[in-house]
Amino acid sequence: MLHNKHLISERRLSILSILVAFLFLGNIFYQLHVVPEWKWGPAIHKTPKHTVSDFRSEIFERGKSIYALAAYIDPNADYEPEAFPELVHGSQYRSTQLGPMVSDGCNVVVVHRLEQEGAAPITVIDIIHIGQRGGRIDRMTRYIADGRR
Amino acid sequence: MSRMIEYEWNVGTVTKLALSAMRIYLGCWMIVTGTSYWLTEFGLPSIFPHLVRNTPLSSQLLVTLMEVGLYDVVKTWEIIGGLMLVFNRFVPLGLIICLPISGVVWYNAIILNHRFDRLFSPTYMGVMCFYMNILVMLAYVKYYAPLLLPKTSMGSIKDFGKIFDALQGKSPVAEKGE
Repeated sequence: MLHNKHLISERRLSILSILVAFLFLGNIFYQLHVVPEWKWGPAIHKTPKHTVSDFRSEIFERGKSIYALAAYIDPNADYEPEAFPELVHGSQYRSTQLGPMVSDGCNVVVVHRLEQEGAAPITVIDIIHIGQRGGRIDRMTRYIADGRR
Repeated sequence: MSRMIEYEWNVGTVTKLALSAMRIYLGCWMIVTGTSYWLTEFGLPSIFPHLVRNTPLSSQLLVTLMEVGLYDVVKTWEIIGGLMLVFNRFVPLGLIICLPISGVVWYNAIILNHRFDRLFSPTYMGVMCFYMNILVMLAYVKYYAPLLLPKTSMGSIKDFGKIFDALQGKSPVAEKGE
C-alpha cells in the first residue's frame, strides 16, 4: 500500500489553491459581468427613490430632459408622453416637490408643482415604477391634483 | 521548511478535493459579490448590477436593507467571509459568517422570486451558494459539534485564554494524527 502514497508540501498546496481561486474568480467575473445580458441602466445600485430623485435632477436641475428620457426610461415603458411635457427637448419647466418622496418596493410617488412661464402652475402626483432586472423606469402615471388640501 | 502532507488517491481524497473546491468557489463568489457593491460606493463601475427590482417582496427586502444601511454590513461580511474561505484561514468561522448571507440569498431567489424551477440548478449560485455552504460546513462538523451539547455550564474568565490558544493554532478539537 505504501507505493500508493504521495507527498505534497503544504506551501505547494496553498499556492495551488490560490491559483484555483484566481481561476474561479475569473470564471465568476465572466459569468456575472460578461455573459448575462444585464440592462445596465442608471438605476443600477440605487434604491427606487434614489433613482427617481436622480431622474428629476437630470430634468429640473441640469435641464437634460432628452438624456433623462433616453437613459432612465425603458423604450417600452408604459406612459403617456403628452402627460409629461417636461420630457420634451427644450422644455423650461420647474418643479417644486411638495412633500416627501414616498417609496413602496419599486413604486415611487412624487407630489410636485410644475411651473412654466406664461402658464398656470399645476400640482401633479406621479407614480413611477422601476422595472425588473433593469435599472429603468417602465411605468409612469401622472394624476393632476385639483389643488385642494 | 514547509510541512509535508501525505495523501493517496481514494474516495476520501477526492471528496476532500471537491469540498476544498467548493470552499474556494464559495469564497470567490462572496468576494466578487461583496466587491461589486463596494466598487460602486467608491464611484467605480460594478462587476454586475444588484437586482433590487425583482418581485415586490424581494425589492422590499433589498431596498430596506440598503436604506437602513445593513446592505453595507452584509457586503462587508461577504468579503471578510470570502477571504477566510479562499485563504483557508478561520474556515469554520468564515462558514458561519457566510451561512446567513447564503441562506438569505437562497430565500430571496426561491421564496421571494419564485424561481422554483432553479431550486437544484447546479449553475445557479442563488441556490448553490447555500448548498455549498452547508456541505462545506459538514466537512468541518467537528468544530460545530460542541455547539450541540444539550446541557452546558458557564465557564470562567480563564476560558478567554482559549481564544488566544486558538489564535496561536492550538486546536481545542482533536486533529488527525494527534
